Amino acid sequence: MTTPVDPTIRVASNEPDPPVGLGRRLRSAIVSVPGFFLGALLLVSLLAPLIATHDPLTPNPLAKLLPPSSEHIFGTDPFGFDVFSRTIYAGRLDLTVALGSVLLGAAIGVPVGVAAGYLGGTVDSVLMRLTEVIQAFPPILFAMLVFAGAGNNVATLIGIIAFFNVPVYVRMVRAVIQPIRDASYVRAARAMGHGHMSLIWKHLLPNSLVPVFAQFAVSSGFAIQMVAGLSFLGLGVEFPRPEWGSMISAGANQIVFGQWWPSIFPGIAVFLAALTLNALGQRLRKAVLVGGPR
Amino acid sequence: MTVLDVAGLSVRLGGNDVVNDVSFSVAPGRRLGILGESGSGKTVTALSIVDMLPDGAETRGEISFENRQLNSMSSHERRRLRGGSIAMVFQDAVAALNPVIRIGDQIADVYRRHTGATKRAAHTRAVELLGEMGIPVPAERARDYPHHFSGGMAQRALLALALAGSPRLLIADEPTSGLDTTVQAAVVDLIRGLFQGSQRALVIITHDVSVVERLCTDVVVMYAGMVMEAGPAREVLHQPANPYTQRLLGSVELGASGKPAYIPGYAPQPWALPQGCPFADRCHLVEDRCRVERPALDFDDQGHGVACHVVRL
Amino acid sequence: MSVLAVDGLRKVFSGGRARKDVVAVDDFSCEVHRHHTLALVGESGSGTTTVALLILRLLSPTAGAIRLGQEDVSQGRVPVEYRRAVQIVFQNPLGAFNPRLTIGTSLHDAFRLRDLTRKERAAEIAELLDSVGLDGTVLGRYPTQVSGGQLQRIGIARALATRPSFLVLDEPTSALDMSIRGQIVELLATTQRERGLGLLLISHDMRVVRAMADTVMVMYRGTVVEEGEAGQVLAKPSHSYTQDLLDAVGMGNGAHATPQPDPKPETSL
Repeated sequence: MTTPVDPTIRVASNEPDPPVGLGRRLRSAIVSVPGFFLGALLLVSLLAPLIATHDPLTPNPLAKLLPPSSEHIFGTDPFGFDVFSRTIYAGRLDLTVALGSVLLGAAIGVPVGVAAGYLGGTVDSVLMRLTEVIQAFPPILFAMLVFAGAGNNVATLIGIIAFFNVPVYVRMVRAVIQPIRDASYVRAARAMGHGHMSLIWKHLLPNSLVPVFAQFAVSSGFAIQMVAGLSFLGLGVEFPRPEWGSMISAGANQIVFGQWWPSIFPGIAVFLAALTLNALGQRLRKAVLVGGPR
Repeated sequence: MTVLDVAGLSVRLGGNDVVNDVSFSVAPGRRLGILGESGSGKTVTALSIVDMLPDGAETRGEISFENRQLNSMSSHERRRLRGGSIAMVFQDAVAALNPVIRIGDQIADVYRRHTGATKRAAHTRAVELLGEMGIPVPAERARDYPHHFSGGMAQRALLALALAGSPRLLIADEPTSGLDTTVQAAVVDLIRGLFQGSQRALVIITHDVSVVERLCTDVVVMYAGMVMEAGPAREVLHQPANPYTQRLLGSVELGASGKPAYIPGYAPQPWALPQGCPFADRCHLVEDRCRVERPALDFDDQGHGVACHVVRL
Repeated sequence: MSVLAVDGLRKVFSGGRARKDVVAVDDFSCEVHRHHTLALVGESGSGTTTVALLILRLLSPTAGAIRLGQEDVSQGRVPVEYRRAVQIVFQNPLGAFNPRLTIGTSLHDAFRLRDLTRKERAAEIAELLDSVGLDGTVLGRYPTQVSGGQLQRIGIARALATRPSFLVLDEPTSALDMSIRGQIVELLATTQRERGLGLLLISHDMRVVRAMADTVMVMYRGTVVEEGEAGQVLAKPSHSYTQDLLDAVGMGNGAHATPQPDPKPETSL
């Protein structure tokens, strides 16, 4: 038994806007200020050879830890690398890994989460135990083993980080699917002859994307952190290949001496990238979240 | 002297006027029913009293508890009032109880906070309260967790919890609505027994006419955020004057035989409230004036008030 | 194809390793005829909703037969003709529509069992909306943007999209406002008359049962405790539970009449 629901509390809006299809809504979420920002970040990384003022891989031993100047606009680091050029170049690797691992993680995690939430029972238990096993792996140790076997390259790096993202998406999607699996509208759809696949595609997946998009920024932040952590151990990204996380850690010791520039500029780059992905994730989330918060 | 005084309360939520100029008061020992259908603003009215409106709500008007204005109190004072002198019970009783704490301990905890009693004394009182709520073998049930309780039992436990602090006002939001019909009657009778002959005041929010009939001394009938009719429950239910009240009461039985009784049309959506009487579009007595001007609540000397241009007391 | 017959239906929910199995429905048999309304009365836990889900084959019975014409559809894949023939209207209309889809999309979706062009579908949707007393303005709205009563009408329109012969009505009015319950009861009666539908009405509200049912079955804890012609059961219930249900809405025969308000209001200080 339920009672009449009070729409005044639920609908906190004025006269509804005319509805727009999901495809159009997603498109307009991507063609937006955050979408433009992400495009700009990608473009800068892509055009790094044209923008960079110095070779990012050749240090000048005579120009260590120089403060920002007209010659080195972001200064130089303890090895004599030009911080500006390396910050620009690093975007290539970091954005690839962040986006790649997030998309790959979601691409695997979402369908598995749907399966766990929709099928329930034994399938669910087995999948949940599996995600627990993955989450119990020490990430760095696991990465070292995989790198030892599969070689030190960017694809392996993306794969490893995506691997650790998968359980997050699985659990999130499952948590969304489970309560709506028995919702009346899902039952109605089944009574109208929806098979499992079309039911999932039409009714369950759109709902499950809401938290997934919100998770994007968190996952990409995690990805950049992982890259930095691994490169610190000489895994995934070998020195002196430019990468934001390792640039920050290389300069971190200098901050106490007032030499802030080797860390701050790549730090700002990470911040901008995370902010952009977060804003874009929120846009996408809102595009899916129509018709009320349920 | 009144326990609760609401004067000219208006609430705007998300750009919509969901409560418009609502006034009523409750004296000690009285049981007021706020009767309304979905979108009537009855729940928002209750939430304003306990200061639990959603963020972004704009409120006008005055709410006083025992002649002290709530608006002028600090949020700390209001919070203290809410836990002690004003208690509240909700529709979903199982969700309103803490799932990981034994029922008896939850009640004892509230009792201790208000009386400073010893742990042992508080526990004894908790068991006593559960017994008063008609829960069989209360000493054993006090050790249960909320999920062991059925809906009706949980509502009884929630009442015990609410009354543990000896409140002078209880606000109950649809306390029987989630329950089976045969259980509803028992809970209504219980509440009636708890309040009858005591100085405690009750405000009960409900969509169910029979709850008002069985339980309340006074009633406020709301529609689309506005008070349509108010007064002693007997007067309003047996001699309803406002066309909305009349037809609402008429549709409860669905028509004993033949054509089912109902009110044609739908209540206006909160974003499309008409300028005049909100019931005008569904009213069989509608006049031109109803569409341009809102009727004001007009009371007779019995305290029976009606807001209608056409029907006068 | 004119009778929906259920015979010896049983549903046991396995409680897993730790808990006991639960018999939700035991030995339930009924016949739903076209132009006829069978009311299945019971409160939460009585098994009525499980019966509805079994008949719609959203659950599979542990034992028993569900026949439409000659064919037993109780096990295995559900034939398309059966899906078309038996549809459902839910209790809470707000839960019965996907909140992320517009009402128009949901209605179009209801035609998947019929091979129609988009244009034919649109025409039929307009017709259906008209028959439930609404117009095309609701199509572009989301479920939360129309009233509960309007949404329940749309729920009825959706159930009619497959041109069913039988409707299962799972508490079709109990989530609606008092003042409009009668509208839905009347709409269901008209629809039944025009289309010759057989209705299985699930309800615990004896007022709705009185307004709609030809025959009544009362369920309690998974089994039928009373059945008979509606007038008979309502006037002279033989089971005490039926009596309780009648008393709850003041339809009992005086034994437990609705308490009246206080004879005189208590004096206020």
